[in-house]
Amino acid sequence: MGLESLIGGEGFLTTTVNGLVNWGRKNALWPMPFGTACCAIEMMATFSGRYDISRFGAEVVRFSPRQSDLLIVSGRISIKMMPVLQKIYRQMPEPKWVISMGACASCGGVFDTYTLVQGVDQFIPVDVYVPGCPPRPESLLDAVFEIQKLVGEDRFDSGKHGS
Amino acid sequence: MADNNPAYEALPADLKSKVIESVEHQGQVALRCRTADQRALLENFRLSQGYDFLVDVTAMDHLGKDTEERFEIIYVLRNLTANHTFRLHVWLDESDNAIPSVFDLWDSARWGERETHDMFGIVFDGNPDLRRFLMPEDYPAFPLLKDYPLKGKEERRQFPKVVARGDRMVEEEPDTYPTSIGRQMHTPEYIEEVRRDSKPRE
Amino acid sequence: MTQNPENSGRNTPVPSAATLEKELEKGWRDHRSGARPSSVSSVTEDDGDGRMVMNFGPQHPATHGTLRSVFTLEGESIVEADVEIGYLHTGFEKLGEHMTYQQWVTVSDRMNYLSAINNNVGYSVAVEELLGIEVPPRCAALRVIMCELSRIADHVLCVGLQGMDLGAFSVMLWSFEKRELVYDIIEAVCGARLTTSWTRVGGIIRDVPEFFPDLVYSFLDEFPPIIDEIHGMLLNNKIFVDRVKDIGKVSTEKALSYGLSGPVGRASGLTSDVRKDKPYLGYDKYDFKVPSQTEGDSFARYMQRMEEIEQSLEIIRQAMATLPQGEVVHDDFKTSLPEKDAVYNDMESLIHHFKLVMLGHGIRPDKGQSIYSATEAPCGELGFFLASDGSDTPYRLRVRPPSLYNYGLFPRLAEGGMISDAVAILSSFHVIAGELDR
Ligand code: SF4
Repeated sequence: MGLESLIGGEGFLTTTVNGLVNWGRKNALWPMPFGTACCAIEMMATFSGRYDISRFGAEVVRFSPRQSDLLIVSGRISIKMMPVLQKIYRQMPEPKWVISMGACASCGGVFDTYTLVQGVDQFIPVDVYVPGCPPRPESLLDAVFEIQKLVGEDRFDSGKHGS
Repeated sequence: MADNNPAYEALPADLKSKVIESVEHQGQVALRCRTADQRALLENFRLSQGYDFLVDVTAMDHLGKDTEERFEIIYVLRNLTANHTFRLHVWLDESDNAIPSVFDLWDSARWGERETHDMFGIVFDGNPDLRRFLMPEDYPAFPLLKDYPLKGKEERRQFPKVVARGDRMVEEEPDTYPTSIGRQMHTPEYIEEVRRDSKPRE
Repeated sequence: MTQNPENSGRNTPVPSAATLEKELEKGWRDHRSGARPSSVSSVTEDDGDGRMVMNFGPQHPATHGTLRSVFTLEGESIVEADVEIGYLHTGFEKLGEHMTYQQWVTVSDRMNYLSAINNNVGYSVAVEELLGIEVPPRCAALRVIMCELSRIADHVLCVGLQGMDLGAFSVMLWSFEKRELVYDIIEAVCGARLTTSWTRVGGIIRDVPEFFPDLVYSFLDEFPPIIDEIHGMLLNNKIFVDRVKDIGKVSTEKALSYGLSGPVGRASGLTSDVRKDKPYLGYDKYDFKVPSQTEGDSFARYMQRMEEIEQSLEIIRQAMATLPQGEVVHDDFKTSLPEKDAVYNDMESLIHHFKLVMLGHGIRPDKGQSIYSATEAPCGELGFFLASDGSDTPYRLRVRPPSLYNYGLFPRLAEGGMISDAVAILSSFHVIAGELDR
């Protein structure tokens, strides 16, 4: 950031600005869907009509990592895909959050095989896990709420976007 | 010998003798032959008999089994006009695991053979595009071989880790990778070794 | 990128094992660290002769998942196309060799996740054919109804995505909304929306609920107008029609030689449909047509899907009218799981269940038996090759994925066209990555 290094301390101004920024951030999450398999279909269902994630301000789906702050990893990640996922994660600007959706992304799920990475959290940091195979759209919405909570608690000086 | 398989019946006599076995199960016929005769038989089926639809190409690994050869290549052929489907199984030697490609007869063989190559390491002589297919280019093994374990040899753990250090995300190589990444090769010694310690399946 | 014929066979001198190993070690390390440029870069580069290599995917909205194409461009036209797949390789076939025949049903619906029921049914039919058992008539009819329902859902989604890729976003939102009608039925029948695991070898998991006919009949009333709505939205849309007409033409010979099947093949003049050619589950009892087109372009593939939806509705109508009563599980409990209720309340069923579920017992086809069995999935001919060695796990389980063979033609079609045409062709092929890579 830079602002807080000028002001310093925990004054009235920093906390209020902090609150304002977080309020804005958490109600305008821009997800980057990294959908590979079945879970991606449920993710798309969450984005569309019946479940409508836009009610919670997260409908600006950007397929470009440089404009997003929430990475939703949904689906199986194979060893061929893992370098791609890491590259995309590195391209996202700070601060960024990650949802690992579904059993496969979180731990490999039913596929304990030679080609599947057994949990993406071994190689990139994950903030919220969504259980299920596939998780229902409601669970993904719940995970977005959790992320919003995390965003709300974030701090300039010590949190994810402190720099 | 199956008497009711039109594809076998229509073969000329010299090719008929090349078919070493014919099994029928649930009305579906599987003919067997050796590598040397594969091309002649398939040419006959395609060009003279009109089996114009190659449904699938795949292989089977009989490691440690009491079979004639280690590999078996399987072609599923269909004649759409006559609506008849059957399989041709070809025995393939493990020490010289190369077999003529049939991509000039059916274009669908291009990818079918490429996948079989990727999964079993079998070389299809003449196929113009035998790169790795489903696995990463430098993957050190052929996963569908029977001596390759289901969970792999720790290849799936060998990635750098992105961690938060200070205020930035950095990549960290883990201290140690498992040292041996299980390179598999079809050398006679290697196969001998595997034979020795693999128990035949019940 | 260039294909090197000399690379393939034994004609080139083979490098020694040690060099090979060293090179592989290095390549594998480069892959892991993402350092190999060709592997993941998405930059466009000009290599001096006015041609540009453009990477398309594996993470791109128009690739529907994880397909990657590399196009060599001259201006905006594609002179050379190459595709790379395998980004979703999961090891289904290897897993099949380590699971019992009943267990693999659960895995099968993760393969083509848009129409999981068709996978379940296809696999169960294959094992039943291997064992030579026949399911009771009620079970067969229910399977047919559910298969056709998910075929409709699959086709509607495909049409919606085709619209989305060409700029008609609202069609996609509508089709997702209408898919929910099918999901409601699927959820009522088996409790899950996507990953159904609904069939068992020799039957289905349980009989359908009492209100099932009401659900299906109300679906049959509600759905047909939607076909007209989608037609109205897309056929009156000049941009859509202009972008798909005469794009990606496939001749009948090409389709045959590349092994195309399903709607993609039938849009090019093939008339084969496994449901007619080799009827399973009593498909021969129903009176339906196999539509086919002659143009073979993207527009024909769109029309083909819409016509198939109508035929599927027809099949569901007939199957509902003649839905027999009775058992839904084959009554030889040496091969088929007894119903859950019976397992909890009846000693003998419990024993059967135990024997079937424990590893090392279960279904054991005779040694050396093998079968190739095909069913018609929404994407095309879904085949299973099963070989048994007399144990309770398949010795070899091969899936013949329709998407793989359909997709094999895509690079040849994209060559010579524009980049925007490639998107139009790809979306009309409807390739499911999960099934393509397995
Ligand atoms: S968790 Fe289940 S639904 Fe999600 S990708 Fe894995 S198998 Fe598919």
